[in-house]
Amino acid sequence: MRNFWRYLRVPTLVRRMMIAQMLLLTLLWCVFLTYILWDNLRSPPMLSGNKTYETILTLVDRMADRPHDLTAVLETFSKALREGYGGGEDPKMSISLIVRKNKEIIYSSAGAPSGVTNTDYGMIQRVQSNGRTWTSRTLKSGNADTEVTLLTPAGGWNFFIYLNSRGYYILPLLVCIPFLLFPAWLSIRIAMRPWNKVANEVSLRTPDDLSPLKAVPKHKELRQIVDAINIFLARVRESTERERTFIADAAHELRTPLAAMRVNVEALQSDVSNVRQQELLAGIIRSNSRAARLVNQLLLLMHSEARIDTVMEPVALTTLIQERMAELAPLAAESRVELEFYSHDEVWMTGVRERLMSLIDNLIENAVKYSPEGGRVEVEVRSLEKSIQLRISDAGPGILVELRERVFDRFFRDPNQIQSGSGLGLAIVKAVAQQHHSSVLLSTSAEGGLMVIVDIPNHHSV
Amino acid sequence: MKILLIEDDIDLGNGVRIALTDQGLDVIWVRRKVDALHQLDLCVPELVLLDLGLPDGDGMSLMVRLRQQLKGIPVIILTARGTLQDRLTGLDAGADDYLVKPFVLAELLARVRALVRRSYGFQNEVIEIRGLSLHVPTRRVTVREGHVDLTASEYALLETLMLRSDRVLTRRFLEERIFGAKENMSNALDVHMGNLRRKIGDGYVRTVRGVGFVIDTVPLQKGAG
Repeated sequence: MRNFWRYLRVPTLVRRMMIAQMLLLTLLWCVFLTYILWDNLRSPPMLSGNKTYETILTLVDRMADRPHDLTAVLETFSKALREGYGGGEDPKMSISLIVRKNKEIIYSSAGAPSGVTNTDYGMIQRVQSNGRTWTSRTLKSGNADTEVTLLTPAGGWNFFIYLNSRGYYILPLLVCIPFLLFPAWLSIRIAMRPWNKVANEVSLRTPDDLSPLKAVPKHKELRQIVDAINIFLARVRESTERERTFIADAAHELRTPLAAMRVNVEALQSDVSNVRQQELLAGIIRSNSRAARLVNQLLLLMHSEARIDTVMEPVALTTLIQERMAELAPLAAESRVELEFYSHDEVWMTGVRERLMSLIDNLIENAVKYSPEGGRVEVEVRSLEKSIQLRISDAGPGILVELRERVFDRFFRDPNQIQSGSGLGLAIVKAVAQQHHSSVLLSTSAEGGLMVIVDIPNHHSV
Repeated sequence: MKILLIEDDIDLGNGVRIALTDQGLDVIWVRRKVDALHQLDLCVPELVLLDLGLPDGDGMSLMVRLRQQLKGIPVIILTARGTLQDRLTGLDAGADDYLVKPFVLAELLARVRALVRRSYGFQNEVIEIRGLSLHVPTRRVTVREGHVDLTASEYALLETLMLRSDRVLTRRFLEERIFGAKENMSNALDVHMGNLRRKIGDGYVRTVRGVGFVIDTVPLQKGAG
């Protein structure tokens, strides 16, 4: 029930259109009705028609010899008129009949205003009597001795009496509304379908997908929106691309001064024999290496986040990992860490070789870096039913569960770690994995360290 | 020995010049492409160190000129452009080696020495690692002065590993190198490796499990493991 109310309270375009249609319809109907009522009030149909007058004149003429019967007939006639008018028996709200013969009143409806005389025969006039306004018209007989006057009340308040008696005009509206609204609702729903298609595509977007919308609707209104969205996306794309290029260029430009600094310090190192000075120079070299690595990682990240403009090609994953491990073996040997690789047959996947290389390098380098001396880094490729899994486990300190989401953020560093690093490694891994429609999962290895699982969906394998 | 260094950055150029001069090498340092061309007209260097981003033109065009005019001179490209594609382009253009800035001085020196040696057609005749020595021309292998008899495959395996000591060679690389095989020959490789190890003794060939093999010049000291 609450859900239903919440549903009702959420504004929808369909409802807005329906309500607007309903309101407009009612408004138009009311205007139309008001016009008719106002027109009727100004010249009531009973007064403007001649047939009633002629009937009464004929009656008076033919029954002139029987005044009693005439009065009775006129009385009945007056009642019939009042019933037809719909204002009830109250003379203030209903039609009244006055018949004169030779300027003498021979019949007057009960409560009819007295002293009312029309000066202009045959015309509808406003007359005053007892402080009230009446609309009246008088017709004379052919020989001009009989006059018939019909009076209806005039004035603003009379409108409502009129409305009351003419209520049946409202009825068609009430009957029509459901018949009008259902088709309207249905047609709006059908008309909105292309819109839903566009909305669906927009809602399914991942935040870093800035490519133009694929659903190009034929409808003019929708196309305007889609075009506007696409222009906006293009602008965002351009600006992120510019930003990326800028960072990459800056990183690039840093390489030469870093190289110069390193070469100079290294040349100086061979000239210095003082142990303390050697130590200081080693410090500079270390910082230089860190800066160089940061620059490299920045470039890699910027490349990894760029849209893949080259074609994805089949990559022999097992061989690639073996080659990278062979390349990284000296680093592992330096930290006295043993590298091991487990896989059965060659596993193929589609991807961009260079980016996959940076993913593998970063994961293995991380594992080696955080491994204790004499520890072991195990790399494993498993070919599962639905996916290929790359698992890298170490015996290091691992990553706390509550930090596992955040370590993928750029420049985030586990506060408990003392190892130096760029803080970009896992951001690169994540960017590359996303481009290959893969997920990266952090878990705990058998030895209590970190196990990174990269899950590559199988339908991308060849 | 004359080395032509083409590098526009003053600090880097000067640093490399000093470092190489310290090693007893004769360095001519120029900072522009026109100067480099001028120098090449004056004398023929034994090695060229080439930066790609020069103020008066791309170093790559100079590379092409070098390859056309002076075929035998080894060229090492020093550059900030480090992607795989850049490397391939550089090597395709005829460079003998490709170093991405910032580089370690020791690495630069090692590569310079390797290239100069190669350009002289000079190869180390005897490779010696921790008492294991291999005389390339005679294919004679000795362990601590004792002669070892090896089959052709075992010798090829050992030579490949010793020439590339300290580098892990993948199983695939070794298989293709020794047997010229493309298909899976892991069993054969393991059999030959087992025999080789038995003959030269333990402690030389280290296995990187699942990856390949390496001969370390300095033995790896295992910690807890």
